[in-house]
Amino acid sequence: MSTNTTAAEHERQRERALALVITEAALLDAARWQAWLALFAPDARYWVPLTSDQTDPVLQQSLAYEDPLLLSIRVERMSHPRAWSLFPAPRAVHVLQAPIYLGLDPASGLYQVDTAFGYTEVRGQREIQLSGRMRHRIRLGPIDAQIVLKRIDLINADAALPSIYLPL
Amino acid sequence: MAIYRESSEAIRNLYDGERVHRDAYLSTEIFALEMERLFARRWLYAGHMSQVPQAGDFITLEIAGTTLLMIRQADGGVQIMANRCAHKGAMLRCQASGHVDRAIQCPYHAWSYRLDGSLLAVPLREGYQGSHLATSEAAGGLTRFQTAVYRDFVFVCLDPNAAGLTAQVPAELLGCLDAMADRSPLGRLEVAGPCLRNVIECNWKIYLENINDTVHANVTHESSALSAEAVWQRTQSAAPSALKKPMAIEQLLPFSSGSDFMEKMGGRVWAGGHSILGIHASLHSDYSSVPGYEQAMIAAWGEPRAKQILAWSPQNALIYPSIAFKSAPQTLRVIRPLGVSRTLVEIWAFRALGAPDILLERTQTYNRIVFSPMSIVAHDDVQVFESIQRGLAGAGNEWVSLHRGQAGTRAADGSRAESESMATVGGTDERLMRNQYRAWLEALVMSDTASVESASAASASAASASAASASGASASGASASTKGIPAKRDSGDAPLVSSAGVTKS
Ligand code: FES
Ligand SMILES: [Fe+2]
Repeated sequence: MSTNTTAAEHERQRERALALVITEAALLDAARWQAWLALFAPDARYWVPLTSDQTDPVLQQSLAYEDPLLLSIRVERMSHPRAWSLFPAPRAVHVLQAPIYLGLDPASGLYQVDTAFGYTEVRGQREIQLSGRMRHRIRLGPIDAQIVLKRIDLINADAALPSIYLPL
Repeated sequence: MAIYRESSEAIRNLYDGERVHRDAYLSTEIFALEMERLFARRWLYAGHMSQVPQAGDFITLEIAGTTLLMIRQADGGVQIMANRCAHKGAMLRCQASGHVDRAIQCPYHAWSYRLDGSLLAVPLREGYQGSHLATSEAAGGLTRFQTAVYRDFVFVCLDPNAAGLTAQVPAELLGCLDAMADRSPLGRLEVAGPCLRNVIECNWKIYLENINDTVHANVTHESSALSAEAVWQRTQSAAPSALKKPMAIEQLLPFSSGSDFMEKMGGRVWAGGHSILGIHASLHSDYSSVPGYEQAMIAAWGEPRAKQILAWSPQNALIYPSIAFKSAPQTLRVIRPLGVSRTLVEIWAFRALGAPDILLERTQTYNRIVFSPMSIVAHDDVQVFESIQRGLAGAGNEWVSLHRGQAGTRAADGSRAESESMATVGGTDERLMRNQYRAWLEALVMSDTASVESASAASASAASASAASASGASASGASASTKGIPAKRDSGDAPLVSSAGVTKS
């Protein structure tokens, strides 16, 4: 009986973690910035490294490394009437490969999901295509699920890149 | 059809002292001439010695359409050479960086070269009997280019006849490199990781003008600065006790500074297109002090020099045509034109050895939130630059206006007074940009192959800082204590640094 409960509980955790990853991409693509921001834990980090083996986000350079404060500024600006680069408004779509659930990391107490993705962003006539792998580290509370780390490794992070106007 | 190649007058008509004609930004012919007559004749940024610490370490780079190898030599020096096999032109190495032992071998037919680029061996040698290989250019090995090192910054000049680094670059600008290096109590910098790289669909000069454009800051970047302010105010009012201003907030809020502050920043221009913006203050002036750092600096440099270095934080020092750098943060941008409407910007960060990590953290944070392809601040710059490129191509007005600040620079007889070698200007003065076009015109109308030599810098030590004479830190170490920015920076036209010039090793 207890074995069944545990298995069911594991399945439930897996579902919640995977659902969070899919919800996050959907909120980004729908430009629901406030709802997107609310998925991040107070101690969360949003990280787009410059190299795939990068371990230090502070003293090494990254394309983005943002805490909730910086993410809030990013979202705040989305509705600013003179955020010039948002006119015309950029739009994006994430195409996710089936996310891979890697279970609980006992050391951090966080659930891990890795997802390969493709990303298309348009602004007026301009279009860019990016792809890579995103790693979510997720805290599952009794009710809510929160992103503690979203790390995005672009396959061409080391290339000379054009502006990427929206959060990946 | 070659309009400009054949006619200096046609080129002269592109800049009249106050206006730039749109062809300067749009013409592929002008772009080709810029590569030949400006970029190929100027000292450009190649890299930093810390990228190639051991003999045989190399990086690859591309400048003005020429692919290059920068290789650390056995004697500790560095040499820049064409990354093009003397046999049939294959690139010797295509990766960004790497190491070779003693010799570098071509991946095509195995010709090999010593670290200095000279030809070491050609396979199947007997097959060349009776040929003229030995007297051909191939026997000369890899084309070696003039290489100079200043405070571990490595420069290259593709023109073998060009005057040395110190003859082209005013001592005051080299003094700004000193000021960055001397932020390290050990007087040494190290490249911190790979650089950020942003490709922008605009002419390189649009980016370069903006290096000296303070007027745009609170217009273009209003949304970033005000959003940061709004979020920070909400955060503070929600917090029970006073919070320390986070680094990112400290760096973002000054972008809303008004034009009064910008004007008082002040700037200085030199013949040759060089400039320093922010000689009195900058958006970086009010970063909080770092505990223990000042004491370490005083111990290293003595109080007067330490205070001088710490007080010095220009908005941008510009070594024309392509190096823009700060002092605090330790940031250096390199503008690499890729095409008439395509520009690559590299954003490098430096660690000041022996200084607290927070200096590097500040540099990386600033570069990321202001220059990254994902930066909301850069987004608003980039979209304006790209829109200028489109706007200029349209029918109607064919001119870019750089009229601002002309009043103070006219001589009594009404003629332009922009011929002097150095001048101090207000921080919103478009002379900071006109100065670039003066140098641009001088470079482009030169129809012969003589080297570009800036009139002002010639007064400094005219000695060539060629590969042989420049031996890295030692060349400049000796001069470090006598150079740099005097504490008294508000005294009219006093030079920023002593005019003693650069000490040669
Ligand atoms: S091209 Fe290099 S050896 Fe032939
Ligand atoms: Fe800007």
